[in-house]
Amino acid sequence: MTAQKGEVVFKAEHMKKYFGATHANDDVTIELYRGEARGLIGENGSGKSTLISMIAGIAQKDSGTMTMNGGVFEPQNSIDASRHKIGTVVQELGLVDGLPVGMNIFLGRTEQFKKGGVLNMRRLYREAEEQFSKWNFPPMPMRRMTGDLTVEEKKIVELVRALSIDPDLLILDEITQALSLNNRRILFDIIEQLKAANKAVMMVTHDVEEMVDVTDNITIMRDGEIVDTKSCDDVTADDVKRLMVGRDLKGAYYREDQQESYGDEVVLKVENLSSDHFQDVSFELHKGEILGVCGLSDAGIHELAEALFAVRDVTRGRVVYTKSNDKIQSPRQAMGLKMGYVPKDRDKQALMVNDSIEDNVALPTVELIRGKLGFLSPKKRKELAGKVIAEFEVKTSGGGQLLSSLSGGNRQKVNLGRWMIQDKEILILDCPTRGVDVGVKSYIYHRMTEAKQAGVSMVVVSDELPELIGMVDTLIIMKAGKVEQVSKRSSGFTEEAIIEVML
Amino acid sequence: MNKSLGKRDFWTSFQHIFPFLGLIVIIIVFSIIAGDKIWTPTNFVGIIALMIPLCIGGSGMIFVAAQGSTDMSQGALVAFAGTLGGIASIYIGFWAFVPVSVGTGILIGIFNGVMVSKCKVSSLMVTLSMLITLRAIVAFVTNGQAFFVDQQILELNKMEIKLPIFICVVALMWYLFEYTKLGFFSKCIGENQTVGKFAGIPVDRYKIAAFALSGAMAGLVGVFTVGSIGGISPQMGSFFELQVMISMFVGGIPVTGGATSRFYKLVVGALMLAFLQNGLTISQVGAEASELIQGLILICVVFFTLFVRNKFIQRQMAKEA
Amino acid sequence: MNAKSENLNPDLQAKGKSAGQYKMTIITIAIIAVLFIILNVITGSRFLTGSNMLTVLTNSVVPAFVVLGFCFIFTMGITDLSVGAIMILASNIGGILAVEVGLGYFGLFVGGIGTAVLLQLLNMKLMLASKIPPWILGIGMTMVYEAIASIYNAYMIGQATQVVSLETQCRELGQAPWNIIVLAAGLIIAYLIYNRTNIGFGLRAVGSNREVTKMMGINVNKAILLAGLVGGIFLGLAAIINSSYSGRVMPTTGLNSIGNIFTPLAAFLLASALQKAFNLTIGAIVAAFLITALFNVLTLMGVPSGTMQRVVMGASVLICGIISQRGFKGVVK
Repeated sequence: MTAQKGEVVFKAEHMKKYFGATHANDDVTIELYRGEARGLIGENGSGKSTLISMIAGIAQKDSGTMTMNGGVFEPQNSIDASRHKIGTVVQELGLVDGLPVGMNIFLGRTEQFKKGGVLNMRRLYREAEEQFSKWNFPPMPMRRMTGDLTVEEKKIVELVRALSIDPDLLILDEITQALSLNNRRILFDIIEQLKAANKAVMMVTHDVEEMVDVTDNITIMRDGEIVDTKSCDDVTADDVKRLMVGRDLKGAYYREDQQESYGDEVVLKVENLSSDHFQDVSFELHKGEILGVCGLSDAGIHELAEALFAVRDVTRGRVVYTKSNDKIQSPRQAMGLKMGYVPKDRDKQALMVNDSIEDNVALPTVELIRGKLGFLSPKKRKELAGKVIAEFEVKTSGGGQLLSSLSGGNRQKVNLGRWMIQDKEILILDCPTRGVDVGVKSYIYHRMTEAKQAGVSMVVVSDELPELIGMVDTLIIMKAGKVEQVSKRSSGFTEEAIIEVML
Repeated sequence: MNKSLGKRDFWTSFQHIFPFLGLIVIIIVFSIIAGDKIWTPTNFVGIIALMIPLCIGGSGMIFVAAQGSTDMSQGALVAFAGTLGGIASIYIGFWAFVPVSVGTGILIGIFNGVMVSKCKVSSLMVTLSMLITLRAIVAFVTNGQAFFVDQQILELNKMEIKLPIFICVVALMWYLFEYTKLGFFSKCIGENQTVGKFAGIPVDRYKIAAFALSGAMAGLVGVFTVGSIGGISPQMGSFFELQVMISMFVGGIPVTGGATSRFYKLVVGALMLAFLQNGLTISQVGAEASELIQGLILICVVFFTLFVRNKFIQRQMAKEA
Repeated sequence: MNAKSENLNPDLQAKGKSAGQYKMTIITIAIIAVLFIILNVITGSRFLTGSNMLTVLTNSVVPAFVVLGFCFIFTMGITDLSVGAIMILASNIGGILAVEVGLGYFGLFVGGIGTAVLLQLLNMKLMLASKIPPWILGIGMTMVYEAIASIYNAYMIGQATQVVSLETQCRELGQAPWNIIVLAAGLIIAYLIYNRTNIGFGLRAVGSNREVTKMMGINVNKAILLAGLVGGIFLGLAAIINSSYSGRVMPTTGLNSIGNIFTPLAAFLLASALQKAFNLTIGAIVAAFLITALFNVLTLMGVPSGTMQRVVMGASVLICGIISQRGFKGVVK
């Protein structure tokens, strides 16, 4: 199956993990070898982050066994994992913003600098600095507050923290997309160095081509299970993608036509919009158009979505609702102009998770419910919630059920449904299918196509390229806060071409 | 889907019964300790008189509490608004009493709200500063002495006048809290302020409105307090904000605000506290010990409310799995 | 994207403090100096005299110690308002051990610090176990502690006396030079603990991001309790010096003990606002001195204490709060 096999350094067998009713990991077995760089790939929600969290000691497994360097390995936290020589850079972990950079490198492992109960900070900072130069990263001010760093700098600090334990196994979860090209090159050198020193590396990235280039073997996950492990010598990026999705990308899943199709009428005009995260973004949204926006993590695409709905302040430029020539200045006003907005983070920005379906539906539809003397009729609220539940096939016992007890997919149906049952003309959807399973995804795409046919215009911001390729009429590719390319559906999008522009 | 999901289990129903249960327990406890003394008509009127200011103050503060904020300045504001109203009634004319008092409350409330929403200072800090400042001003203006105002004000203390006003005010606030955007959005802000902002709630405006209502109600309580004394005393309203808070929390309104804040809980809580204070008085418990008892009850009840709520959420999650 | 890595300015490499911070420190000191000169002019040169400065310094010792205690407790995001009531109890129990049991300074220290530490740890334990928001727990505990002190007070009045007074015993600690020596020692210890130990970094990490700290393998509960312990020691010291200075500390009721900690509260908020210029522990002392100086000026100008001075106190908490929250983008409740 795999090309060269060294000695097994890490082994996980029959790993299982549930989140509520969903199998995040269902009987996962994986072996990593010394001197190997392994890629782990899968769609969002395929369970790769869950697997990594369990190895890193951040999440606890429900069942299964892990061995590291031949010994039983049951990490309680990330320090535990690092004691077993596993270094991790994981999305959930991050850094403590209120501490100096140098301290973040050694937090939890400061005993070595202790002398008479007091820490020798000079030595701590010096050693932290040495770690940076050891791995060829540009030096950083060790006493600076970590919160003042940029996203990329923080990622480098996290990486150095993981490397500073001299790991036998280094795990990197989607780190490359936050790094600039030169730092990415440094990282790939480090991976080569570690391989040469007979250590193992496991990395996750959405960039399949990069993974095929950098790693030796690729393990593909789908729906919480490992589908296959392939050697990079005899596999192409397309093979990997097919294995990831497990079915043909075409067909009924996305829309079928390959031509852009929308009305001539411009409904929303964006002129030179600028903020801290993006500059001079201009475009026009037409009636019945699906306009996609993509870019790497620092491209400012999510911030752009926020600015379109006036949740985020802009420094320059404007968003104009063309029908009435109104400049959009507040979310409330935007809602009055038949705009709707589904933010990226469903549980933190969109839904009140400890509240009922009814209240969550009522929140953006309050104007529909409001009667004389501002009366919010409980009956109307119940009806609207019922409508969302019925039309979007939400699996629930009733409108009074708490959102926190629904699965991610059902929550997203409520989230989208409460906007789509209103007669909105413009919808701004930020990652509309984030963290939902394939069935719900297909359902959401279906509803989006229906809305498009009914003349609703949509701006879809997404991290998932296949979804954009499959759905949009116009695609805006952003890079470092600027619009890099605008292309139409008829030009025939390919993932390779888009990534080329994004990088 | 699990069939039992539709049924209400123990913790679900307990959430609703809990405040009533507390009320019954307190009534029983004091019926045993104080015997029949509770059940005389005069004592009962006394309990209602205790409850009225708590309910009025709470009907304003509940908006602030639902948003997850807190208003510590209400007690000091009762004294401040009452004092200014009293002075106005002497110098401008008796009619000015109520408008000046309530107006002062609204203005101070708006100031609190602006500080919290625009200047981003935590409501605890803002309203604590306000408490200290207003108390000091009252002490300065009154020179620490009580003084009399026009004795017409005593009319307000008559139950037949007080009760209808009380019922009207509470009914209005009940409507605002449970059946209008103002109340609904306040609860949403308490659940998750970011979600509220992303769904188009002008959060700052609703925060200011909540503090303004709280202030207005403090002003009204100020009027009634002066009415019951017949004059202005610099000590009036001391401890009042805490009594209102205890009323809300013992009624089962969560400290963190949110969707489970309900108006009926405030009313039940106020009744509970009125029974408790009345009971402590007729059982001849000293002032120091009753502060102790109220402090302990506050902690226990807040803990218990959180505990029941968490159990309820866990139960729902477990069922789904 | 390459532009990003230029942010790693090589000039700012770890050379001790960054140049920017030194500049801030010097500017801030200059502003304070100018402010003092202006105040001196306003008060007709009665402010910047040797004896008046000594008075200000003496008066600032107790608030300074309280602020140092806050550095360890409030920095974790735990706004425990029962501190004032704890200090009243600590003063009285220290006094009882010193005078009535006759243990002198030893009793004062053991009673004062022991009480403050125990009650602070009790608060932290309760908070961790019950998960009640700290501010509401603090208010509840204030009522409980105030009531205990008041019951003692009522008992003593019943005995036709008053709460314990140090009379002539143990009074040196509250006077110069001893109070200033203790303050200097306290500052050094606080600075070391806050900046050079696992306790300090633990509490700062908890205050900054409790979730990440926990995932990084720090025992959060232990970190909170240890910080509470250190904070308790400083509050105990504040209580002792306060009794030594004033002889008798009267119990309060109706949450008035919270009013007692308003000066330190304003100073703590000011110290947080000054963090770009001073380390928090040093800033604590500077801020306590500044706020005390402000009240000293008010007294010199004949502003009545107890009323209008308290108005200024309330206003200064608010203003310091606004300054410390400048540019804050998060959710405020």
